[in-house]
Parts: sequence; C-alpha cells; structure tokens
Amino acid sequence: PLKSTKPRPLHKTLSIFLRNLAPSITKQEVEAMCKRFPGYIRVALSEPQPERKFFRRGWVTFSRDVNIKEICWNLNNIRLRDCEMGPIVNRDLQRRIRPVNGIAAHKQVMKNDISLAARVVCNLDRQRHLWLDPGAEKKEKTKLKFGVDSRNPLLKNITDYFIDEMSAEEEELIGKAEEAEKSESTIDRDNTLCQVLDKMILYLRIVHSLDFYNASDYPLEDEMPNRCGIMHCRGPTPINPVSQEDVTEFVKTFSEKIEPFLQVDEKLTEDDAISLGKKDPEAEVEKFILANTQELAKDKWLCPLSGKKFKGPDFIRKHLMNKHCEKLDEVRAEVAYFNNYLLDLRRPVAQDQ
Amino acid sequence: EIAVQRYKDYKIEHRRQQLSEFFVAHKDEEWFKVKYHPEDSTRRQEEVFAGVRNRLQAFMYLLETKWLESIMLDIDKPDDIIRLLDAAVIKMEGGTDTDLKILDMESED
Repeated sequence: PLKSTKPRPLHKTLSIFLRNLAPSITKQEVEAMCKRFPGYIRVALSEPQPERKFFRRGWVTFSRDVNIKEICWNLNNIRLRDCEMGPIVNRDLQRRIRPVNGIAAHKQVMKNDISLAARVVCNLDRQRHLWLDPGAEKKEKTKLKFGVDSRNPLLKNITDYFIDEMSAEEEELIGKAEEAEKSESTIDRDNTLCQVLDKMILYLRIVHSLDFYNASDYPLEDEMPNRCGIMHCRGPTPINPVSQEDVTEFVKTFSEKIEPFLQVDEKLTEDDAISLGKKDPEAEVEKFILANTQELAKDKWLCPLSGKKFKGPDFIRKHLMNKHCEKLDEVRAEVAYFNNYLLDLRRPVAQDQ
Repeated sequence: EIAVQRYKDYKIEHRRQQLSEFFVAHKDEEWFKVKYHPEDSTRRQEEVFAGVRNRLQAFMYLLETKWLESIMLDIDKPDDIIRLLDAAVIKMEGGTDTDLKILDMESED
C-alpha cells in the first residue's frame, strides 16, 4: 500500500530506435518481439519512405527502470523476416522548448494568430470528431460566422477578438490619430490576447499534436517515446524596431505555412478519378460473376468456386449471390480499397519512373 | 494537334497503369492497408480518435485545475512550459494527482 502512494515518473521513458523495417513486417510482429522484455510499453512505426524502398522506422518505448542497453543488445541478435532492424538506443530530447521570431508577440500578429488558431482548432476538431454537435447537420446553413462554429469551450465568443477596436473618434478629436498609427511599430504586449491565444495553442499542442508556431504536426506522437515532446514559443523581443512591413511580411509567411491545417481532406475530382481508372463496384461484381460462370457443354454450366454444376447461367448467378455473398463483398471491398488509394491526392507513388 | 492529343492520352494511360501497378505491388502490406483498405483504415482511424480523446481528457483536466492560468508561451520561462507538457503526459498515461507531485519533487532536486 505504501508503494502505491509514491508518485510515478510516468512522463519519463527509455526507448530504442529501429532504423530499418522492411515493408512486409507488421506492427504486431514488432510488438510481439518486444513484449517479451519486462517494462515494455508501446511501439510506433513511421510512414514508409518511397526513396528508401518503403522501409519504415520504428520506436519501441519502455519504462524508465529497465536496462535499455541490455535490451538493445538483445534486439541486435534478432531478425524479423530476414531483416536487420539496426536497433540503437534513443537519446532523451535535449531542447524541448524552441524559439520562433519574437515578432510573434506583436499585437497585430497575435490578432491574426488568434483567428488562424481558432480556425485550425475548428478544422481538426471536426476531422477527429471532437465536440460533435448532434444537431449540426440541420444548422449547416446558419454557420460560417467568420468560419468558426464549435462547441469547444475555448472557442466561445472567440470572434470578438477578430474585430479590431480603437478609440478612433477620440484620437481624431484631439489630433492624435497619426501618432497612434506609429506607436504600432514597437512591440506592445496585450495580456488578454496572450491568454486567449496561448490556451488555443496549448490545446492544439496537447490534444492534436500540432506545434502552432512551427506550423508543423507530429502525427505519430501519441505512440512515440515522448508523447508531448517539442514545442515552439515566441522568441525574445527583436532588438531593432519592427516596421509595419515586417509585420505584414511575417503574417503573410506564417499564414501560408499554417494553410495546410485549414484544408479539408483533398480528393481527386470525379472526372479525374474516372480518367485515372476509378472502378465501379457493381461492374466489378458483374465481371466476377461472369468469370465464375463457365459453360462446359450445352445446358451444363460450372461454378468453379464450389465445383457445382447448373443448367444455365442464371442459376449460377443466383447461386453466387446466395451461397458466395461474402466473396462478392470481398470484390466490393477491393474496389473501395483501390478507389480510396486513387482518390487521395497525397497518395504515395513509385520513385524513379 | 493530333500529336498533342495522343501525347495527352499516352500520359493519362501511363499514370493509370502506374497507379494500378503500385496498388498491386503494395496492397498486401500493412502500412498500405491501414491507409486505404475500408476495414483496416476504419479500425486505425478509430484507434487514432481514441488516442485524441484521451489527450483531450488530459487537456481538460489541466484546464479545470488551473494549470494553464499562468502559462505564457514566451521563451523566457521554458521550464514552466516543460512542466506543463510533462503534466499532460502524466495524465495521458493515466496518472493520478499523486503522480503529478513528482514534477515538484524533481524541481527540488
């Protein structure tokens, strides 16, 4: 009982990096191989790299109290499907918090970032089915107030921050309008904006594994040794004064970098899909039926799947539909499999062709 | 004109064949099934969604227990941010309030 009240260092792990995994090796095989070592936690496998013959890389995570060198040594002597995995001990992360240009603390940049972050939150929440609104489909038409409509509490009243406020009238009356324009050139922090923005950035970082200021995501992170490793933050205030051009340029460049996370899944257009060979499931089923309808002689037809004989092709069709419906479903699944690949605009393709 | 059209047709046919060959070459491999096969990709997607829901729970815990209140994402206090990320990981791993105390014990070391 005493032991269970002792805090556990669950955030710290030890891990092994597998440099080389042939595409035929499955995750289950790697798991089975590593489970034998006490302290095993999980396996992560990378996407294959076309330029490396679709070999994958792997990370095996263990608890902090194992002898990782010994495990690594043992793994050195194991081959999976005749493949040398090249295991090495993975070091701890050294610099977890990294800076980006300090201009990101400029009020104008922050306002723009709040709008971008809110839209990214909305997009990723929707893609991953978080904060689903049961009545969402009916409301389809009423949404798109600044493109943000969500039940996520962080986004409540967020659009208030999209709008600029300024004492324009007052400043005009006392002749200060031009001065106010100029004062934007130094970085003045707005702590309210900071709090609103930073909560959203932390939400993106922790929940969706998206490192906002670096405009990158770590899609495998939840299975990797470090489940929340590196994060980018606003760097030190620039030494030189910041001009309006600098701000505009920074905002433009950053908006372009974050753009991919605002996009809905990209798919091929129907016309392109058809010209590239998109298949129709029922046409393929029809082909399958014809291929399995063999005429042996007059009024003598064979179904090669079962070896049974029939008096005519229509009997075979009925027979296939009743007795081999799982085979027909397999054909449909295979068509869907191929079409899913074809429709993906980011599909992997063969190299050097 | 005809030559241009022929070349276009040839290019489409070539791509069509490439895609079909690539599909046949990789369709039995796990990484490819997980991406595109209707059953395997659905199963994988459900796994990923469950992982994200677990991470959301960790975040909501930190939000409700005021861990996020004083955090500013500026480079001057990296240790505060690391502490928060570690707390998030401890919650993702199913850690308790007791487990979170380890973060204070470490900083005393």
